Order: sequence, then structure tokens, then C-alpha cells
Amino acid sequence: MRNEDKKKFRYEIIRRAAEVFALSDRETETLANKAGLSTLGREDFTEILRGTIASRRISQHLLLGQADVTERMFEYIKKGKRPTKETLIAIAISLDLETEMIQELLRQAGYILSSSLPNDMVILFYLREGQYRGHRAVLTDINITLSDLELPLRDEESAMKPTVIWVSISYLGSFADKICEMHGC
Amino acid sequence: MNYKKIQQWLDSHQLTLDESFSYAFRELAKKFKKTNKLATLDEVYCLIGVSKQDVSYWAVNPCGTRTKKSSAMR
Repeated sequence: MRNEDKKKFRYEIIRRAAEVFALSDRETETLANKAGLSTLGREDFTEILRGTIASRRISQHLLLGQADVTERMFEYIKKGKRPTKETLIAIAISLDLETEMIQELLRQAGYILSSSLPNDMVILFYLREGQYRGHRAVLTDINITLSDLELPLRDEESAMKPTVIWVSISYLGSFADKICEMHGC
Repeated sequence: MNYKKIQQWLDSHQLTLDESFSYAFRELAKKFKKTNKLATLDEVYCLIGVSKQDVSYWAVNPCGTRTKKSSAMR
């Protein structure tokens, strides 16, 4: 099952649970929040994200570098593909948003940082503790701790592999050029 | 995911996780079962389109979602 399907499946379960258990909107949202999701996601989320990025006056190059998001992934997001929760968290932290603003941005994308989930708890802890140290330090601390606890921060399948493959191909290309130079071919 | 390390990290930072999704879901199912005089929790799960295995998987993998094809998706 693809990640997108897994997410849809969890939303579907919450929707059906709300129907069967006759939950109010608030109770449904509380249940979704325990899974790190929100029922308050908006269709026009891409527009909201674009507006948030524009309001922070940060260059795309700098933002992508700090959030460790590939240009290709960012283009997908701008075209309307919903980013993974992990990618969105990295972007939000790189934008230097307050914790409450990060939660609001996540909520509008259908996610939430939940104190029921260990990985989210790590992120919430560093957001609280690291608010005066700058986003880069916070992201580094989060990554180190999540890695140490064997909890991945980023969706490696969708976000990282294309970069790794691209870097490998470019590296092989330059390596081949060097060999050619050495041997005069 | 390393449960022991996670618990140690949480303890060392005096943090406690809130009630999990799987626990809340199971509690709602138990309440529904009692109210509607159903025999087993499986009957409740069936109404929602999940299996007992799905709920157990969420309990063990709180950060992830189901990887194995669920009965509801077949």
C-alpha cells in the first residue's frame, strides 16, 4: 500500500468510526489527532502554503536547503501535491514559524503534531525547548534524536531517494570525466 | 522504532505520551459493543471495516499506518 493510500485508509477508518460510534465533530477531531491527523484539512492547502512561504520572505533556495527538500518535491507541492507530514514539518520549521502556527499549517493540510505519538512528541519537545536557538539547530536536534530512537523524520521513499539517485548519477558522471581526463580520452 | 529507547528518552525529559489512537479506538469499540449488546469486538470492527489485526498493528506501530493490505481495502 502506498503512503498516500495508507493515509487515506486511516482517514477512512476515522470517518467510519465517527459514523458508527456517532461521534460529534469535536470527538472525531480528537480521535484523528491521536493518530497525528486532523479532519480540518482544506482543499486549498497549496494556496495557504504558498501564502505562508511568501509572507516569510525567505528565498526558495535557502528554504529548500534548510528543510532538506528537493526542488523536484517542492515543484510537486506547488502544483498541488500534498506534502507528507514530515516534509511539511521540515518546511514549517525552516520558515521559523511559532509552534502554534506550525500546528495550524499542519491542521490545514490534514495533519497535527500529536502528543500521542512518540515521533511527534520529540518534535514538540524540541520546538518548545529550541525556540530561541534557531530552526537549523532545532531540525538537527530533531533529526539526531529521531534517528537515535529509530524513528524516521522524513518520508525517505518519496523525498530522499530521487536526490540520492540524482547525486549518484552526477557523481558517476563527474567521476567518468575525471577518468577520461587522466587517460586523455 | 526502539520502544525501550523511546521510553528512556521520554522518562529522561519527564514526558508522558497521551492516550494512543489504538487505545481510544478500542475503548470506543468496547463501549459500542456493550451498548448494542454485541458478542465480540470483531463484530464492531467489522462494522467499521477493520480487523483485530489492524487495531493490534496500530498499537504496535503508533507512528506508522498499516502496511499489510487490510480487509477494508480488499
